[in-house]
Formats: sequence, C-alpha cells, structure tokens
Amino acid sequence: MNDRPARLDPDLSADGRTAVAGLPTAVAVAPRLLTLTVNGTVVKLRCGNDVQPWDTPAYDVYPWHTLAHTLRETLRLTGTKVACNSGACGSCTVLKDGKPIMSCSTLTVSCDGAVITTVEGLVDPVTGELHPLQQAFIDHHAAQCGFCIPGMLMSATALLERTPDPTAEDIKQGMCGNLCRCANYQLILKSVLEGAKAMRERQA
Amino acid sequence: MTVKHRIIGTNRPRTDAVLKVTGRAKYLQDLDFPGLLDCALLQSPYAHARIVRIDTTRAEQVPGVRGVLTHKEAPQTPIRAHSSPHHTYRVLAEEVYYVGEQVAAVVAETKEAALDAVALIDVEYEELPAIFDPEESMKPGARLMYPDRPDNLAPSNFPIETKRNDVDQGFEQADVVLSSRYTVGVQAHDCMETHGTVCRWEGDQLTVWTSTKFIWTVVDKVCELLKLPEAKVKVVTATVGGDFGGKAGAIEAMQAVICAIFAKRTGRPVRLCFTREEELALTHHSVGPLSYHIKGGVQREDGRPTAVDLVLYSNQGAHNISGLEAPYLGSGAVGVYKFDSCRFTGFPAYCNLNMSGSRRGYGDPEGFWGSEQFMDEMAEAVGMDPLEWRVKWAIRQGDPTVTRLVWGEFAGGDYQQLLTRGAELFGWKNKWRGWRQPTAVDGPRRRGVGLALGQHLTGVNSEHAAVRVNVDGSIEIFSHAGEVGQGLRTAMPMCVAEVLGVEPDVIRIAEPNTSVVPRGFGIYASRGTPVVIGAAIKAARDAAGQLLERAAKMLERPAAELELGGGGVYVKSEPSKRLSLQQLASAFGRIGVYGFGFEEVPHKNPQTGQPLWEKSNGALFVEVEVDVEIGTVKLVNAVSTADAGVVIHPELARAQIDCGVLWGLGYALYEDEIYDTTNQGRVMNVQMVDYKIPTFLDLAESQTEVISDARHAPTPPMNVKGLGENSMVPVAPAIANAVYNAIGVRIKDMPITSAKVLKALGAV
Repeated sequence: MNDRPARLDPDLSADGRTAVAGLPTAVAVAPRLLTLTVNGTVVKLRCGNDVQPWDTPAYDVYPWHTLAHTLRETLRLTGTKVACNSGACGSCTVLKDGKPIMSCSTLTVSCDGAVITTVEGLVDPVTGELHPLQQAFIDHHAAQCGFCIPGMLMSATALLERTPDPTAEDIKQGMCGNLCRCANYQLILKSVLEGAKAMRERQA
Repeated sequence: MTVKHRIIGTNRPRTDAVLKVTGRAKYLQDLDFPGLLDCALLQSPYAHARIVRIDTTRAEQVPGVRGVLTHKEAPQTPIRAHSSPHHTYRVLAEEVYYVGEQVAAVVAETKEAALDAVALIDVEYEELPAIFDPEESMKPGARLMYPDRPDNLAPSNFPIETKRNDVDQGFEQADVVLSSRYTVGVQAHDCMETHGTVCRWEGDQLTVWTSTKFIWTVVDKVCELLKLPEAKVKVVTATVGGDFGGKAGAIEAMQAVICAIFAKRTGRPVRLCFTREEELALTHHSVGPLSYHIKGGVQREDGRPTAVDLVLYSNQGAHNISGLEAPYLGSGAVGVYKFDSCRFTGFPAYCNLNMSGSRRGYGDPEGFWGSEQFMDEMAEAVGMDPLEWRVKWAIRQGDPTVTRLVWGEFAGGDYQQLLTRGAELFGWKNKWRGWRQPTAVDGPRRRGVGLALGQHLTGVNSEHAAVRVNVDGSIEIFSHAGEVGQGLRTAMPMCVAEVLGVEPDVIRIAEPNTSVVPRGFGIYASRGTPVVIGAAIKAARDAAGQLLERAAKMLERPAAELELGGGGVYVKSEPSKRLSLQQLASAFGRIGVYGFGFEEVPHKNPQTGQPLWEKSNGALFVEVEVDVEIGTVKLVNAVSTADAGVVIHPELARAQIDCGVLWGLGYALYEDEIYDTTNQGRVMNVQMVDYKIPTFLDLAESQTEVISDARHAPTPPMNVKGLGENSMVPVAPAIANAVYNAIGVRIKDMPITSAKVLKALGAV
C-alpha cells in the first residue's frame, strides 16, 4: 500500500541513472542478515539498500520495509491484512514475542531475533487442526467480509493469554483497537467468549 | 400458509468461514502475479481547475518507473453511471472537478517508486471557480458546472418530482401545519479492503481482477473505453473485503482502464490499489451533504396526516457516478404513511465535492433522518404518543407506496405487527413518559426513548442463473453473485439444496468470472437474496423438472408420483424405488442436467396491473443516555423488529440487522466526511484515525426479532427478501427522537456531535 519511507539515493541505483531533482535521498546501510522465527520456522533475510528492489539479486528486506510488507510480499504470508497502513485499525495485528503489534507500523529491521506469529501460525502445524478460537469464529459466524478477522484472531489470542477467562467487557476493552467495518462485533465477541471456554476446557 | 423446509431456516457454517479464519481467503491484494507492477495516482489539489501544462519528465526519471499516463493518452469517453443519462466522469481528464480527482497515473516496480514519481509530475493548473453548496448551486445565476447542464442538475432517468392527490387541498384540511428543515452529513463506506484492480494481457485477451460486486459493469465500461469486444475481456473477483455500496463498478472501471493501458505497454501485470487516503478522498460516499424542507399537515382529532410536501437539495458531487440520487430519497420519506396527499421535489445538484452515490440503504437513511423525526413533530403537535400515531397511520399491504418516484402497491412486512412486537420487547409502555420527558435522570445523565420505522426496496431488475447437475451427482451453480460478506454464497446453495433434495455441501458455486457465469446486474438494492437467489431457485426448479422427467422414463411412473429427496428421486408411495442424482445425471449420454432460471422484479399485481413494491421493513426502539455536561450521546438499548419474508439463515439474518444498527449509530453520532469549504472543499478526515467508525465500545444492549412470514414477500420464488439495507434506515432518526425526549431539544443537523448537543442546550 502506501509505504512512503526514505528513498534510496538514486546515485546508488544500479541502472546508472543520475539523481532526480526533488527526490529525497537516503544513506546506504551496511548489508546484514536478519533472523526471524515466523510461525515456528527460522527465516534468514538479507537486508541492505545498495541495489534496488527490482534488481537481481535484490535484498529480501529494505530498511523501509514494514513487517507487514515482509510477511505479505517477501514471505507470501498474505493472511495478515493491511487496511489503513497507519496503525489505526488493527487489521495487521501479529504477535511479536507473544505480544500483539501492528505490523504495518513496525519496521522489519527492528524484528531481528524476534518470534513472530501470524494467523497462518494458529493452525496446529502437525495435524492441521484449527485453533479453538478459529473453530469458535466459524461456529458463531464471526466473519462477514472477513478482512479484519486475522487481526481479530491475533488480538484475541493475545488477550486470552493475559486473561484466560474474560468478561464481555474485558473483550470489548481489549479488542477495541481492532475495527470491523461490517460491524460484526456482537458475533466476534461471542466467538471469543466461546473460544476462551473451549481453550479452558482443553487445558483442564 | 407455512411451507416446511428442510434446509432453509437452519444455521450452518458459512461456506467461506474456514478460508477466512485461516488467512487463506484471497483478496485482491493477496493474489500472486510474477512481475507485477504497481500504480499510483496524482490527485487534484483544486476543487475545479483546467490542466494547462503537464510535464512528466522528472517523474519518468525516477528509478523503477515504467510509465506515466495523463489525459493526453487516456481515452476520453466518459464512464457511464449505471442508470443515468448524463456522464462526466473520465479516467483522466483535462479538467478536474474536486480535490482528490485523479490527474495522472504512474506505473513502477514498487508502489513507493510510483508514489515518489507522482510527486514529481509538474502540472500547471488554471484554477476555475467552484461551488460547494447544493442550495447555492440551484439559485438562478449560479455558476454552471457543465455547459450542457444549464440548471446544474444531475439528470436522472426518473422524474425529479412526484405527487399524489392535491397537497394544497390537503393543507387546507389540516388543523396543524408544520414545517422543518433537516440536514444530512456524509458517510463513507470505508471498507477495510480499499478498491483494487489488477490487469494482465494474454495476447489480445485482457483479464481484469478487481474487488467489486459489479463484474459485468466493469466489462461493459472497459470494453467501451478501450474499444474491445466483450469476448476479449474477462473480469474476475477475488474475495471482496466489504462493499456497502462502495464497489459499484465505475471506480473499478477507471482503475481497470489505467492498469490495462500500462499492462499493454509494459507486457506485465499491473495493479492499482488505493491507499486509505485515496479511498476516502477520491471514491464516492453516501448521498450528501443534503438539506430538505418538509411541510406537513395533520388533523387534531385522530392525527390524520392530510398532506406532506418535501423539497430536497442534495449534493451530487462532481460526477454522476451511480445514478439516481434524489429520486430514491423521495420514496422513503413520503411513502410510509397514509398521507391523503403528498408531493416530492428533488434537486440533485452538481457541486465541486467528491462524488455522492450508493451506500447501504441508498437514499433511505438520508430521507428517513428527517421524515421520521418530522412524524414525531406531527404526533407531538396533536398530542399523540409516537407509537400510537405510527400504528394508526403506517401503510398496510396494498396501500399506495412509491419507489424511485413510481407509485405502486406496498408489499412488505406488517408495520402494525412490527411496532406492537417491538414495543412489547422494548417495554415502551413503561419507558415512555410523554414528550420531552426523560425516562431517567442521574446527575448530568439523562435517558430518553425514541422509535422510528424503516423501509427499503428489496430487489430491482433481472437476473440469470444456471444450475448443473454433474454426472457424479454433485451440483454447480453459475451466478455472478458476489460475496461481499453478507453471506450470499452461503444462502444460495442452501436454497438450491432445498429444491433439489440434497445437502448444501455437494453444491459448489462457480467463481464470479464473466467468461463463465451468466450476465447479471450486480448486488445492490437488497436484490441479492430475492433476485439473484431467486434466479438460482428457478434454475434449480428447472433442473428438478428435468430430473423428474428422466426418472419418470427410467422408473416408468408418471412424474407426479415422484419426488426429489435424499440425493435422488423416489416414488412417493414406494420410497425404496429410487434413482440417485448420479444415475439420473449420467443417464442419456452422460451429459448431466442443466437448469436455467430468470427472475425479474418488480412483479405486478395480476388483478390491478400495478407494480408490487416489495419492501424490506422494520421498526426500531432505542434508549439513549445524554450527558448534558459534556454533550455525549450513548446508545444504551436497541430493539429491532424486521420483516424478512422467509428467513434462509436466521443467525446471518440477525447479524445483518444488528450490524445495520451500528452503521446507523455511526451515521447518527459521528461519521461524517468533513469538507473544508474555505480550502477547495477538500475532505479533511481521509485517514482511519480521523474518520471514526463504530468499535467494540459502541455495542449496546440489544434485541433483534426477525419476523418470518411468507405472506410478507408475496411473489419471488420461496418468498425471500433482502435485509442488509433496511436495518440502518430507522437508526439515526430513532436516536434523534430519543435525544429529543432526553433533553427537550431536537437536533435536525446530522451527526449529533457533542458540540451540537451543548449548543442546542445553550451550554456553549
């Protein structure tokens, strides 16, 4: 979407073009390797900016890439959604070291060494079984258009980690940063309550 | 008359649920195209300007840029609104008419490079005078927007004026004549997924992937503008991340033409997805801002409404992007009560603001904001309880009502039943204390109650569908039906399964792809359920007839003795004599069975020949709490009753109503595109952090009852009707009526912000 980071210095571009008047420039960074654990898999990402993203070989990560961009475009984990791209709607919520963050407002370079969980990581990696929250979201029709649902699921996962037996009010307060334009809040609320119950029963 | 259904009326998981909760549902931005290029748009900084000179040299030099497009190379045929004779909207034009309108496009290897280049396009504009107020735009001598529209009116295919009986005489017969002026704000669709399109050429075949509910509209416009035969263009939708009237074809067509031109030039797939800022500034929104003047006459003795005269001025925006505007508003505002006489006059005025158009309820939430408050004003004037007045004067089946200013007969839910049942659930008798009497006072917090009626047409135009029974007994539906979240692709197989005596899980719906599915009009005007599913039901019945015929031959029994069920056809008196769908479909040369269906509305009353206006309708009762110190309004409790004809999926039906209430709440209290008319009429709140939509914290205590009665949707196959739009119609006026009873002041200017409440109370 509208990523507007500091740009590459055109003088550094591989296609030999000269600087364009009016185009902001950025300083070249030293190439380095980022290590992230994404949904249980270790990924090594090469980061730098002395060649353009469309050159071959390009870097996996440029300094201006958001985590949402890296997940969606580089790792092709498109379950994470970007709706406002400005940290206002919660659609891009993922877990970083267990805490919910807005991946559209997090730079990938700041995630070196982090453990990231996205909606694709909720399913049991061995059996393919759905997470109890996902099952509750199905059973209680939480999704209408569905665009906010991955972010809702990640926020709910984090909420239940902190508060395994939440009240309706806990859920409203804990998830009010996740917007659903279909306004299906009532059924999402019910799904989280039922999902929490299923998770408690499973632990018991 | 109650028909027992096997599948209709049950709650089962949505067909798209698993994909949507696992992140595997593919929305437009999730589709993978090797070599994909991205576009960005340069938008006009002026309300009205002519492009004198445009220089793209610097933009073309930006690393990664692969092309620039301006009005000089773009096709200049206007993009037609789906139902209007006057067209002004161009892909890229020499003259721009609002802040945010597209001026030029850049294609580049990355979105960032495209955005950088856009900022380096050098444009010299000649600024032209602009007009922002629809009432001003209608005054004699007002500056003209378009030389061929001497009245500044955006024309419509329907008359701008309609009346029934003589209003002057009606006013003479009234004991009390009231008049009021109401104003309405602007609601954005603000779908979580913005508009997006990808184009790719394979030889001379163009494929357009786009997020829309109007795939055929996109085909038509792309073919017209690029001068391509229909057979060379294919439009496909991915999963659509919300619509609410926003993805109505014209914007998508603009994106598709730009992408198709760039894709042709570069030989690569090209994508244009809007940023949130583009989404809110460039695309259309609900009809408004608008103002209307209502005059009504009423008799003292029994509250008889003798006349209503409504004059409406609506901002059409700069382009007529989705037609009809004001005529829709008229129907809502004057067609719900038994007025002896009525007149409606609409002025859809062109202004230099971003475009007005279809949005959930299209015209009715706008119209009812004033009319349902005005009905309270009239009831109060004659000292009647607002519930009692509505029960007495709301129209009944067969009464005259109006849709798109065409008069016909009302066919819909029974308002008296909807009101009585709602009042009972809400406890109206105990809560209503009389006019301007709060139901409870706690320090600065005052509670008040209010109610309103709602209605919206359900279904227009015609639709095709096909059903194929495959040789293995599985079933495929071919319909252009787009799933925008409402559950259409869950409800449709349920209805087809009901007809064919199978379980819905053996049914698949073909993807909305114009090279595969029959032509259709799109999902709007609450037509998905009655017309699109209606056509599928007819197609299933056609297939069922053929299956019975085959079975009759094979079992050597008359078809009348046979029945569909359990995945086959059996002899009614001898159920063990049966043939499976697999046996039937693979008989006679193994070519399956094809059924075709066609549905068209409005239906006509066979006795009178009058159009039957089938309405989705309901009543809403609310309790609000107003804090008179800080001016906030909170919805405390809401009770909705809605009429649905036959309910296909009760839980999804209820969700449409509950969510409509939240949409109406946002519209009533805070959603508004704010125009800076001192600075080119620019929209000031084009980000989600500034344009507020309802959140979890807006959830109120609520109760919803869907009344299911086949007689209230008398004609379409299976008596089903749409629910998604009507649900938001009564919300804003019901809240305003409750605020009035809580604080004793009526707020006629939407939305009801804290500032307006405090001003009304004389506190600021």
